[in-house]
Amino acid sequence: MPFDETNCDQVDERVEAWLDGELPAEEAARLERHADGCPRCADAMAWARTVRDELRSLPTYPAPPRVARPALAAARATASDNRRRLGRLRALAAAAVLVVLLATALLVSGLGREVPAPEVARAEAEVRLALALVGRVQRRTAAEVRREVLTGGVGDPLRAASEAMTAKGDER
Amino acid sequence: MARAWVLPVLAVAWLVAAPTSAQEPRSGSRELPPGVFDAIPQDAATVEINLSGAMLRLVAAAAEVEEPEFAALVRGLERVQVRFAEDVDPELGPTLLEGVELAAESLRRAGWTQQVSIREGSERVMVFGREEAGRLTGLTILFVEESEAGVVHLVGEVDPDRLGVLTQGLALPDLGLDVGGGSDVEPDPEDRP
Repeated sequence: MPFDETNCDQVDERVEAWLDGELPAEEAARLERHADGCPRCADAMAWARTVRDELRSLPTYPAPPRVARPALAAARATASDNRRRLGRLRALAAAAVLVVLLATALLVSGLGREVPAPEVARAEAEVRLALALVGRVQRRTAAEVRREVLTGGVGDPLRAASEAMTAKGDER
Repeated sequence: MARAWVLPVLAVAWLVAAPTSAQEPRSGSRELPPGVFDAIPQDAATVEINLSGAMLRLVAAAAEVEEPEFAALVRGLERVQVRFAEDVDPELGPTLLEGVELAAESLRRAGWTQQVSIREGSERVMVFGREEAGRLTGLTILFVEESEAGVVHLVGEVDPDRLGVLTQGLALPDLGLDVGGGSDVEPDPEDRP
């Protein structure tokens, strides 16, 4: 609910927080401005401050061991649990960071080909070998076709026809 | 009435099974008939390669940045199989020639189109293709030369132009491979290289 500083009930609800310095600065300023013009709320705020100061001025006494020991043990157990939880969280976070780093490294090595995985590098070499064999057969085939065209069954008749035409021209 | 669920279950089973059985002849047609790789006796082979989908896609991804043309060619391939023999014992020549002729015959019977045939003395070079919808989807090469022999089988979209350009400058790489060194899945006994 938005703070309405003209509503004294809402001011009452916020006095403790104001006293402990927990109100946002802008809200605290509005509350103080309201108290300047509202004696009821000014009294409530003054009373709250007095009570707090009185409580702080009370003497302190050490707690008896039968009260302190279980309380300390419970506090330590809670702290220990928190540390374990924090440790587990840290381990999980470290593992997550490690996984992300490894995945990034694998991705970079896979895409950038800096350090390809040995299996992939080997497979790549195998594909190149297969293609090289295909290429060699293609070249052999092309050479055979050229030879056939130029010197074999296709070339010889053409050459013979050309020579015959040349000879006829000479005769004329 | 209590068995009323049987018919719907059978219908669903048939619907699930039908596409699979319908696809079998199509994918099977790209595969080699049994025994083609046996043209090269296994104990004479120095290189055996059997790569399929997943590994080929990894190779394509690895080559994408530096060699996009090579990557595009490899991405179109579904399988690469090779059985290759180097420094063949001359005494093995007749066996290899016979094996290659038998393999060629079984390819013809299986509907593969022979595109090239070179017979020169004791040398043979034969190229077979498989087309689907006007596109080359399989290429098989059988060759026996003076001291080498091999069977190469490519399945997938084989672009002859791209293949020609890419293989122009390729020399045979030294793989340092052991026999039986396929990197990928274990082939079926029937179509093993």
